[in-house]
Amino acid sequence: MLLYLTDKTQFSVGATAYRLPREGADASRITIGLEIEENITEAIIDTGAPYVVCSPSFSKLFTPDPAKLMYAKKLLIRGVWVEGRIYRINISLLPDEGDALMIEAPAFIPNPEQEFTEGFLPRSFIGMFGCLEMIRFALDPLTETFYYG
Amino acid sequence: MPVAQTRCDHPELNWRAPRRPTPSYREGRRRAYENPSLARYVVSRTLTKPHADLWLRSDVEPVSSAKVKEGDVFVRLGEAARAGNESAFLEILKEARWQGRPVLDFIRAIQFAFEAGAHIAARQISAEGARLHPDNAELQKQAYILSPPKIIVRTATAGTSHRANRDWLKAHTDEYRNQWVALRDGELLGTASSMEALVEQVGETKGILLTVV
Repeated sequence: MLLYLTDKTQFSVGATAYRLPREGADASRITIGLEIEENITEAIIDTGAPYVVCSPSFSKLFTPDPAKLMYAKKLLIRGVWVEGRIYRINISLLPDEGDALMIEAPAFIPNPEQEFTEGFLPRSFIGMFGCLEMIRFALDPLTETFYYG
Repeated sequence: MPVAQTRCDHPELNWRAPRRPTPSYREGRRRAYENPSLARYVVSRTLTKPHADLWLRSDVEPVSSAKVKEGDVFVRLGEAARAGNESAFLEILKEARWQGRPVLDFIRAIQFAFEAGAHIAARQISAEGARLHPDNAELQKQAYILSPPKIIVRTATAGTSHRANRDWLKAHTDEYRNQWVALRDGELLGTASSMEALVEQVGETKGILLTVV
């Protein structure tokens, strides 16, 4: 069942299950499944992160449009300076119920040549600024459901 | 812009401009634009010399103190960016006046904003630059890339359910801890120790969740 406001207008258009990884650096972080440039993966909802931040391993799966590339920069992620570029990409929130939403958003794509320690940033992030800021979202911890719309 | 001399013959300003501003250099600069008679010796070179943005020369055309101060803003923005000091960067940014600034100033300011971690400011600067330079393709592109996210399509789906994948992941956490897995509708298609190995194993990845347990 989706969420509605008291005047019966829709709050959310879709809902998807989330999980909380039990161990590692991502332990207890809300993790949802989504599609980044037509590849399905999991991403952590991190309202403190800027943009969408793709994990180094996942970013090797696709080639962003160079026409939507901004110059290289570095982001400090978990104490490590990660080199990469900012692109405008498409991500899709995939529902268990309701509709999917495709969002065009700026994303930080790590440089594939940079080496990282094993287990560094296994999952991508979606941040408030640059991604979630234009959609409503809510969580229901009792059913582990992420609502969006 | 002609190259400035690094030494000035003025008795009060007779020192060599360093590659990076030093405290005595900053003090000299402050004295230079507080005293109108000395201001004519100060030239802003923010466009080409990020480290030594103010040089001293004895034959420069008189420069208004406002222009000197504007050049000083970019120097300080650059310093705050290199220090990674977002709050200082944002404070200094309030003094910046964008009207009439060339394209390169906007591009540099956006870079400074990124270095300082001021991502919202980067978006604002790019938007302002695009507004003031509607014919510049680079600024238009940067403003577009940094613009707020946009919902481009909403589709009804009857496809892959993440709930089934989520339930599988929860049920098999201990068994496959730290392993990369490929799942479709809660069905395991492959496991590997890395994403690369998993993709090689699975082949076609369309519609398949690739994640680490």
